[in-house]
Amino acid sequence: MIAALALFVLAQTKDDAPVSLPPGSSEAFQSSVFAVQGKVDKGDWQEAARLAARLPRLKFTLDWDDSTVPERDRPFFAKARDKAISMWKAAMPELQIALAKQGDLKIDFVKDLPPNADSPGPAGAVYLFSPDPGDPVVEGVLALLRSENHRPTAPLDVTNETLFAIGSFLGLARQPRALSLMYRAEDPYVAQNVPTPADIRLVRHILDASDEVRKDVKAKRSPGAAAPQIFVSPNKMTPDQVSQGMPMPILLQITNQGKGPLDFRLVPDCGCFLIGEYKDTLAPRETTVVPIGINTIEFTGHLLKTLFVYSNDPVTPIVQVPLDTIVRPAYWFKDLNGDPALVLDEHGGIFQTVMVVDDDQKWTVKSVTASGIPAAVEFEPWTGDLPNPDIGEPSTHRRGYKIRALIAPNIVTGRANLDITIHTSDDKFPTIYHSVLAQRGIVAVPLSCYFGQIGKEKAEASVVLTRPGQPYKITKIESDTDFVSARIEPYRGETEYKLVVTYNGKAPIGRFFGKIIVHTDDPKQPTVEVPFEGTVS
Amino acid sequence: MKALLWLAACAIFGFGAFGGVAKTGRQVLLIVGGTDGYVSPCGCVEPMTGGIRRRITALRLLSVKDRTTIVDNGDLVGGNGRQDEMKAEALAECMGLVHVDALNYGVEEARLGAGMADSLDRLSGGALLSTGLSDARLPTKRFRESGPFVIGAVDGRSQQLGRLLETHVEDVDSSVRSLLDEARDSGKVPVLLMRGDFDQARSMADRHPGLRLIVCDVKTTPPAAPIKVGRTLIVTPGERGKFVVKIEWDGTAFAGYSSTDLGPEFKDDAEAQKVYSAYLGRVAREGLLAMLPREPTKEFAGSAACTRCHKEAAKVWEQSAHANALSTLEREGHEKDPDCVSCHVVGLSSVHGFVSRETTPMLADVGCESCHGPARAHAMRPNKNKMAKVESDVCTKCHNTEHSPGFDFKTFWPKIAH
Repeated sequence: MIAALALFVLAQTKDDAPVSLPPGSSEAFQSSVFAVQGKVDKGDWQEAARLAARLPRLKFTLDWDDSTVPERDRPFFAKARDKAISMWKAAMPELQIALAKQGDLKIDFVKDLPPNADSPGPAGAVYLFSPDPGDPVVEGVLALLRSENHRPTAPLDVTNETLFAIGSFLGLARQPRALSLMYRAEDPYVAQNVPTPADIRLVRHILDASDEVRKDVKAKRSPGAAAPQIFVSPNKMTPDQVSQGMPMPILLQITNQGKGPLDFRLVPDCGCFLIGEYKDTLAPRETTVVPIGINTIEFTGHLLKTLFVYSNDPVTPIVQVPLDTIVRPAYWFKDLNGDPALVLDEHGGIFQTVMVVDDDQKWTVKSVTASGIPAAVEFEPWTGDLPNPDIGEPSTHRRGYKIRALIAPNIVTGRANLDITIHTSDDKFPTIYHSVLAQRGIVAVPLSCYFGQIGKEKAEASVVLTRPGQPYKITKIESDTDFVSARIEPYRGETEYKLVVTYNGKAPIGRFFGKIIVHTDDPKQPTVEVPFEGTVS
Repeated sequence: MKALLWLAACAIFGFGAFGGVAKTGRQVLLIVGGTDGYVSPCGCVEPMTGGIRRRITALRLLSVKDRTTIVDNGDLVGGNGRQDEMKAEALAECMGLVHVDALNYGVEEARLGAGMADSLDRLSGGALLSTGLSDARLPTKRFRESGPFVIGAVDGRSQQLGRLLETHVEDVDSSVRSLLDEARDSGKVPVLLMRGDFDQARSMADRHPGLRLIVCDVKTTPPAAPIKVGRTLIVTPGERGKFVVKIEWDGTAFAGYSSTDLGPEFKDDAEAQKVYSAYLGRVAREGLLAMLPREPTKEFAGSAACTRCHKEAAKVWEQSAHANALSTLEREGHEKDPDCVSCHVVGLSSVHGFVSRETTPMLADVGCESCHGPARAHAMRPNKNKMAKVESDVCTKCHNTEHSPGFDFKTFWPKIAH
């Protein structure tokens, strides 16, 4: 007889799909549903109904207690509260929120709150959840002073906290992503949180689940609420290293080891994850395999990233699966000269670089061209031993191409980029660019003298005039404005000098600019112009 | 009952309970770095993170008056061209706004030329630090004291650093020994800024267990917790200037670690905005856009030529964001920024491509030829010069994972299907 009754109860539960608790719903909400289920399991239908009545619903009251708020702030806080309610109603017109004493949701204020575990500063607010009939379902206690600097709570803080309080009553969980509806900060907020359609979809899902529980309890049926339990394998992704552009497939197995349906979603912290289609709801004991790829075309080097698995597992709502792998660059350059700049003489100059090509790349170089400054380029296959410090590889035998650029002597004085374009036979990397800075004559480093934002006080800035390996002398310095002067200080022998530019504090407010003209003993470059600029504020 | 619920709430939200250890007097250490030239968030899909203006807002918000140390592990820029010079100066100036205590001077900064060191040091408020360098020509300091900390800075590529600056740079182990001596003599906590990855930092911690904190340089999201090697903690400010890492010294140990993602909730700091605007002004005035390398290609016709025949496709294009792509940049003041313009116009890398809105108005915005390629020959003789079919990979040249996170061809194609 008892066995028959048990089968009957089981059948009652199984006929209806069990209540689905969506990912993103709060642990408080899920615990409340399980508390109802616990009472149902014990046959305590009255207590189950009482608890079910406290689950999220469309119509509820808000008890706003601002008695501790300074009188001058109350109207502003009330307006901030109303703004939050309006935002909720605009996003979800069917919502009915009324102000009332002894409300379902309560918001009150204290002068300040103690520090929390997340940050050293005091909490900006704290949220209390209660199953007791005499208590509000959720009580938000807001601090009037926030952060270690005791900054007064502003209307923006009140609006965001009220948005959060209502969201908490409706079963939403706190979210780490800033700007989202359920994002909370302990320090003063810097931006208005906003409800998104995704938030509202989730609330509707929670409300449906709550209504379903109430309906089941009323009909003396078991809601069948049971907790899912997520299991993710592997718990760390360490695929073998590959060459850039090659596939790096990973299979992630997700299993529901619990008794309730598991809903989950995968959120990577990096665009390098390519996540295939997957079944995002798993029945108890069900397993799915999610195909994951890594974009190895745009991401190279040591990849240390994380894939987050958000689920409705009340114990482990977020599982972090780290990725630790290496994508070897398809090619990289080892400049044989020209770092940081290739200094040209009267004959021009020769720039040499080796483009190392990873062994797994099968393409070849078809042609190489130069632009930016006049140069002839030639290339030839190369082999040799080199380390690759970028991915921590020791010196080993490598192959690639040696590229030589013969730079003409007639480029204009100064610094300019020699841009080398390498055309390959590969679809993934059809064109590869490499640049080197070529310098002819005396140049200023940096190219201009930048004062930045300054006041009305005297200020100094400097550049270094440099022509490595080719000595010269400075014979005179001139400024083209009255409020800036300059002097020369020794820097390195007769090839580098420091040009110190002094602003006398007398320029009008706003941007000032001009140039210093440096005269040299080099007849080929008798003057060097060094622009200066700054902003007087 | 409420007390129990309070504890429950603490468990749920991670709050500490009442009556915990008083946390006054802690020194807050704010850590940034790894900017790698990413001075501004950029992208087609929100939210993009990072940017120097948001960083300054975050640093100001996270600072506690008189009890904050701010360090920048450097790697300001990725290249050594003129725009890199301007970026580095803007970054240093912004960090000067928040009185950065130490800025690691490493290979990437040295590649800009020794002359740039003075500028970076002055603009950052004298923060340039390199423990292994002791060349009187350079303004760098070997150590910096701030609050309870003595800070040193090294670059694992010390030989390369020396070669670039044509000076002697001591090896990193000697530099760290000097830092530890300095810490012992001053009674301060040794903090090392280090250009090197987690493995190098672990190895450093093994070799020098007296170090209490190593800030290393890893292109990743900062981990959820510091790495611990003995008594030494290892942290990183992550990649592309997207994060601010915070950790506190409570007098005996580090605690209170957090990493803040610089999302759009951080408004641009007004002072940093002035610096940033000045940077954009410099980029525009020096005409860096015109100096980009260009390749010979076939000639472009301009979208107007295409729309004469392809009327239905033109309607779709005109309603799309592509048709206003350059205006988007103009609103942000980036229309002369070589970092941005190529994905907002037609053929910037071609000798026949976009030059400016004034001289090549028909090539402004993302036009037909941005995806389909140069079409002048086709426009002149359509039947003889057929256009090749383009595949979805043409989209991902701009809508790549960096600039267009979350881009999905299946979702986005319907917006411009033609």
